[in-house]
Amino acid sequence: MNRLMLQTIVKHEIKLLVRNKVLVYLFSIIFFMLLSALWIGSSMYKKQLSTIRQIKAYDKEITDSLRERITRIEKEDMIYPGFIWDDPTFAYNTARNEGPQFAVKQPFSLQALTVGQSDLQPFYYKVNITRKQYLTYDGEIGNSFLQFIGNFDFAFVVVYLFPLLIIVFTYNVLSSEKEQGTWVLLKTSNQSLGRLITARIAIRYLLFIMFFWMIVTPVLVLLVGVDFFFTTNWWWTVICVSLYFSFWFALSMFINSFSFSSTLNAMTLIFIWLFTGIIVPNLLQIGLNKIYPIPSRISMVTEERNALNQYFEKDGQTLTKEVFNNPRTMIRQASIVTPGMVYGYGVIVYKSQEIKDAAAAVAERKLYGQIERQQNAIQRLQLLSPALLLQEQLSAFAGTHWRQFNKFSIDVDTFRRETQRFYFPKMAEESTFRSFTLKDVDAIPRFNPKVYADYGWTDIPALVLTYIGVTVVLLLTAYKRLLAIVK
Amino acid sequence: MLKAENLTKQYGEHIALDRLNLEIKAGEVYCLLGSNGAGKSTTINIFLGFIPASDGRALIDGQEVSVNNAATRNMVAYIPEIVNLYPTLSGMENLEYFSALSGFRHTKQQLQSYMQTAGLQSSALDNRVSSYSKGMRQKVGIAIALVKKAKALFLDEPTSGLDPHASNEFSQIITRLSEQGVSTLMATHDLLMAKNLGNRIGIMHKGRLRHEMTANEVSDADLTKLYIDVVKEVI
Repeated sequence: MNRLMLQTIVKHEIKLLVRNKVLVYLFSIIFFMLLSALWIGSSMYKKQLSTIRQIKAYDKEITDSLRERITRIEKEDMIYPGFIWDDPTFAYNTARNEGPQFAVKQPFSLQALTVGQSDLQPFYYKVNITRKQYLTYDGEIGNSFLQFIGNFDFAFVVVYLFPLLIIVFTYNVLSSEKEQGTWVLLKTSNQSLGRLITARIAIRYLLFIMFFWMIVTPVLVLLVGVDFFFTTNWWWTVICVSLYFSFWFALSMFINSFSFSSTLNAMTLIFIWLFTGIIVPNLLQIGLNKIYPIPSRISMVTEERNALNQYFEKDGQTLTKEVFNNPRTMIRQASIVTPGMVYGYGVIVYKSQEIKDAAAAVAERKLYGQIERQQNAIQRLQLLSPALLLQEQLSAFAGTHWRQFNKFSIDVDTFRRETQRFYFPKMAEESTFRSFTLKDVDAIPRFNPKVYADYGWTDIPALVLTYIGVTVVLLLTAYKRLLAIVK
Repeated sequence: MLKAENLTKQYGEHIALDRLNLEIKAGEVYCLLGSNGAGKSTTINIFLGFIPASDGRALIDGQEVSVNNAATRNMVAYIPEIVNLYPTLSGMENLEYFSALSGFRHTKQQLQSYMQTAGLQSSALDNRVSSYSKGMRQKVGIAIALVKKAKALFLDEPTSGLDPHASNEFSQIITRLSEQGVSTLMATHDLLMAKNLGNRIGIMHKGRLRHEMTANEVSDADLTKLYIDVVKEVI
């Protein structure tokens, strides 16, 4: 097959495709959906950026106010005119009021492609010394952590809708020739029909891929800027999506090679799409939720509370008695709130915090342990479904995978402990109740926001090679069959 | 140019073609007559390489079809009863495509001249094939054969359903091709067409060639009688 003949076949394919009204309408609809998905994804990304800007502004405002109030108090011989619980020179008050800092997971621009877990998991926390942050919003968890069929985003359109478009694009490359009778003229041409059909499917694949990326790339640049273009995440995304498409083209060629009717080809391909894209992931979701059930958030909170109550009923008795009856704190005796009382509460909080944290850690291990087990199982089983595999990889490249949010949460926890280490000594300072100074304002630990888009846990090269292998086997088998059937 | 040697096709117990022997010279038009199931189309399909023979050999220009199918395909063109083309493409686009697949590259003017030779009016060239009549499709089929410079032409009931004018036009084109040295094997039910167009006529029934004659040695009436006798005789 020489260059000129290939040119003719390319021209022929373009004409056939462009003049197929059903295909053109379907193509337009799905591409419109793709553009809408990109717009929705980029809007969510921009909304997060805007929220982060607001957080920074709020942070600055609060810190400035804190600095100003302490300056005023220090200037006016430590006289605070307001309510004692608001006096920022008490470390306990500042830790409760102005002290909690925001920890932010900086969104990655490719988040515009894959919302992943970003609508389920918080991308920022207000880090409180007395309260452990959770990797979910405060409400009961409605969704599973195995969020296979997620938002209407680029990933959803690519993973679930594009295979349908590819099926419509390719299901009858061979059968239509038979059904419309052009097969007879082709068989008396000088070409090997096996090669011709293969060339036609290859041309359709290349046209499809070129058209796809020529639309997606500039639209994405327009929506989120050009930075993503220089990341490996983007190029892995391109490779994985292109490979996913090539898998579907190869599968379609394989089905074509059986020389079934167009209807049977379409039915077979749609069944495979349904089975691998919807049924397998859902069976895995149900199965893994049964094997590793996620504990209820309500039961987690109750467990924490019970642990704390147990502490105060038994081991915490001494501490409570000591603090409550200490003449220095005079909590019981005083009819008005005294500086000693504020100090006393601070002491109770920091001394009981270790117990609270330990109780939270037990409950947390139950929750995250199950999620971790689910995620590990998914990593082993994802090869069963190309759709699931791609969904997982796209989330990882976009920085919206559960593991990346988990890493963020771990970092936030470390930061919380750092914040505790900063406040607790001041709260327990025995020489003075009012231990928080202007110098301390600048020393309040700050969380360093960063992008969590590392995908080191996935063995991308191995997965890509596996799917290249599957695709090549399909292609070669189909090619051999085509040569045999239509020789 | 075309030669069948004991050509046989068997489907299980049923013999579709029974030891057919025939030879068609360059420029000769050979018409195969016979009722449905006589073995005419089976003969053509074996020559085209669409189905393998159970026994015997089909040769085109000395090359055996089953052995060297790629080479024999280069030499043949086929016009079935209904020439199916890509309906969303124009006649010219279809011709350009099939011409390219046959390894020929022609300018638009050259392709237009082939279409004109095949008798398709120029106003229809750029219309989509979906709007073409059966006769117009036949002409595109002939243009494809012309472009391909086929040495052998196989026609399967080509004039069935054509109006007399279109049928006459078709005959003229086949005659012209024959004058240029193209061998033609035509399967037909049309005795008159066979008599007028063919150099030689073969009558087949139940897979066997019952009678063979030159078109000149038989009158229309005799041909009709002979045909009916053959069918009756076998029944």
